[in-house]
Amino acid sequence: MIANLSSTVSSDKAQADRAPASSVDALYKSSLRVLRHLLRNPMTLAGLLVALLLVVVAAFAPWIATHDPVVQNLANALQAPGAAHWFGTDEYGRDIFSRLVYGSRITLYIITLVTVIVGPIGLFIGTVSGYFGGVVDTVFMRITDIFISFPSLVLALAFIAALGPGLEHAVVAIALTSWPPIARLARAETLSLRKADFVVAVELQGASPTRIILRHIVPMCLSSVIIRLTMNMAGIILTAAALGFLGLGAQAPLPEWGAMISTGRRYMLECWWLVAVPGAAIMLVSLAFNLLGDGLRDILDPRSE
Amino acid sequence: MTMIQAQSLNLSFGVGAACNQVLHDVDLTVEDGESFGLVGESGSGKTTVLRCLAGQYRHWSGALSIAGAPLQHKLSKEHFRKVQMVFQDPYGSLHPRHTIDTALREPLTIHGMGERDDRINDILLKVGLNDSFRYRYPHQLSGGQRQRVAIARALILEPRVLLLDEPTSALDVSVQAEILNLLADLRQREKLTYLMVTHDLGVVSHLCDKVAVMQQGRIVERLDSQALSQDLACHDYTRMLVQASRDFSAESPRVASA
Amino acid sequence: MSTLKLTVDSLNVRFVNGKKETHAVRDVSFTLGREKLAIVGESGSGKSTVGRSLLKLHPGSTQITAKALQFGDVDLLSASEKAMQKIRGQRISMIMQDPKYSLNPVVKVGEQIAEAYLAHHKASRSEARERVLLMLEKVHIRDPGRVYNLYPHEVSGGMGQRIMIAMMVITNPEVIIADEPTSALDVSVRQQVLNVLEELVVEQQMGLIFVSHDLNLVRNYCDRVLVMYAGRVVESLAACDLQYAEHPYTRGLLAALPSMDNRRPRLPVLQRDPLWLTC
Repeated sequence: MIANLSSTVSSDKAQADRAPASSVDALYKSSLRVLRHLLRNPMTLAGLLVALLLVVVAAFAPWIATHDPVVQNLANALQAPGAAHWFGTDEYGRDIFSRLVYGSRITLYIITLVTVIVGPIGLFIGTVSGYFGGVVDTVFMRITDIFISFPSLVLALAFIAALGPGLEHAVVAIALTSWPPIARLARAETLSLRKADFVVAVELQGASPTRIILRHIVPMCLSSVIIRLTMNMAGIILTAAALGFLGLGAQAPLPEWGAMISTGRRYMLECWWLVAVPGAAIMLVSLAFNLLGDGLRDILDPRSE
Repeated sequence: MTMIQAQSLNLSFGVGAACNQVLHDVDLTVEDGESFGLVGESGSGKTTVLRCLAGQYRHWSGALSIAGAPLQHKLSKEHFRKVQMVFQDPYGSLHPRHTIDTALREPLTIHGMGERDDRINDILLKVGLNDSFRYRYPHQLSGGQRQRVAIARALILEPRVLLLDEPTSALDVSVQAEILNLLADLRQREKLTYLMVTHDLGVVSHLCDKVAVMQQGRIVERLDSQALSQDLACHDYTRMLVQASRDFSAESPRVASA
Repeated sequence: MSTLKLTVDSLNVRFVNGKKETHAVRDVSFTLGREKLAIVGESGSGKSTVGRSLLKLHPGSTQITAKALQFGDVDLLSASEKAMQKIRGQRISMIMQDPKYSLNPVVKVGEQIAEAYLAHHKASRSEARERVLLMLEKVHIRDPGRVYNLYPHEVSGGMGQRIMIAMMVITNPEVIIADEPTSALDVSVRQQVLNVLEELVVEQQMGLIFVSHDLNLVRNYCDRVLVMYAGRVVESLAACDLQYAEHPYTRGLLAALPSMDNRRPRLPVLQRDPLWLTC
């Protein structure tokens, strides 16, 4: 029989030459493909570069910053941008460029923490309720509905009012308001996978529900969840800035971008840079994450393959 | 020995007014090593019978047994080692993000079987592939190659019964011939029992010894495939199917009715 | 065969995607008269592409070249998009594989047919309705008045395909391209649909291009068969002579078909010859 089938195999020789030799190799090749696509689209590339820049700046803040971000020098207050202070100084004479650089650490901290909390929670609730359906689905989805029916900023405000202002509490508040869309997305994906032949096939091999969800359903939901999380990052940055602006997020003298705008707005008419510089940073970074998310969708979405 | 037995199998979906009974008193007996075909058109319930036996639908009533062991509504792991299924669509039955190696390793892990690398290599050779396929993704394979992988995945647990759900209807004629030959060889060498669902009478008479014809959830006729090709079918519906699939002939009645 | 409707000479279709170019159809030539011409081949052979390129249904990045692509008095190759719109549906119609996807799910089927008629004819709504009812009767739909008001999800597959045929034929086209019109249907319904199509083709003296993978079906249904392999026509012959086909590909395909009347322990497997790609 094997001799009979040699034609199939031999006609495949050309392909076999570059067949991956191990699962690591296969994984490496497919991630290389993702990267190649990522670099082909200029908008995505721009988004990726800005996001990377944010990480680099945050990591090397002490070396990049020209001044101490919190040391006050009242004699030097409200200086216009120039050679000594690239983006000028604020009302306490602190260098805005340095505050911006250190502020990137806070922004990154919030984004990372919220994403790490929200991703698994959303995935868990979405896949479990989608896979089991019935009562489980009803309970989980009604809870999700409750969270989704509040405007997210109002809900975040309520949580902070209960917990007290502060950076950690802002993170918790943002996380609490941003998991429901992820859960809904994961549930919708799971519902369409639930009846797919490859899921039925592992069921008929006797796999347990935990195994099916973790090894077969989650990997399929992962790409759309990652896309959604990346897009969400833009929203997280804006919410964090809004909370900071309202004085409920990072507390003074931490150089949080939203808080910088908030304190700068009193001098806004005379000293535009107090507001414009952190504002531009917020806009640039949230735009970058949106572009990156868009690009990732083109690459990772199984429907576009 | 009787391998597959179904006695007055009934199944319905929905409750109350929306209740839709899809299987009506289906009786079926397949001997060990036999290849049995279930023929019918879409909605006749032929695939549903298969899925009850495989363990996907569990709210049937009646009696089912595999190799003498009656099927419970709650299935043991043992059941899945005895019965495996091959699906119609080779594009949908393999996980798009799993390599062939992962797909074949999964059932071995679930059932805690050892010597996994050897088993995977062996089974790939058996279905006419080689180990250069091991670390590829399904989208890098042709339809026929995928169907071979799907057959390998079903056979890696060394089942006694293979349930085939239109295994070749999504394939080209030349690839279909290869897969049908492979299935015939495997049955002989591995002493398998086949239960195949199809709408193609050519395929069923090629691969199967016995045939049951289904219509609207009922088995309307049972016969040997020999009898089928010799026009010995008695039931009108079977005769119509034979007539329709035996070449669209110029002599056939020209008047169509709605 | 009497009147020549369509002349295709050395048709080439290339799909361009970035730097990658796929040469899907290579030097395909044929003519179509008042007959049923089948284009047969396996998936990826380019058979559907031929049908679609006649109507120029491909995206702009597709390159279609030919020595001649003559439809009656129109040169399809140089015809503008506007001219093509007049031809599509009115003079050349296309029937797709699955009626589920080619009917608009939120419009009543009767109105969809009327729409197709009104797009190409100046007529009042009530006139169009009369025409549609007549047409539904012609495709052997009982009680056309009731069917007129049904939505696509309320009709069965076979009826849906007959409705599609009614919609495509109501403008009285000269040529119909049917792309696997029956492969989504059960055998018992398939026959009806094919009969309806044939009646209309004969009655209205149309030319039919029947794209299919099913050699057995085509053998008895069509007049002439083009066998395609890897974008080329490897053989062109009268349908009744199919069993005397000479090309090894055609012979291989016929032999690989499992048959009720000729039961063999093994099916002969098609051995592909790389030479077929060059000659």
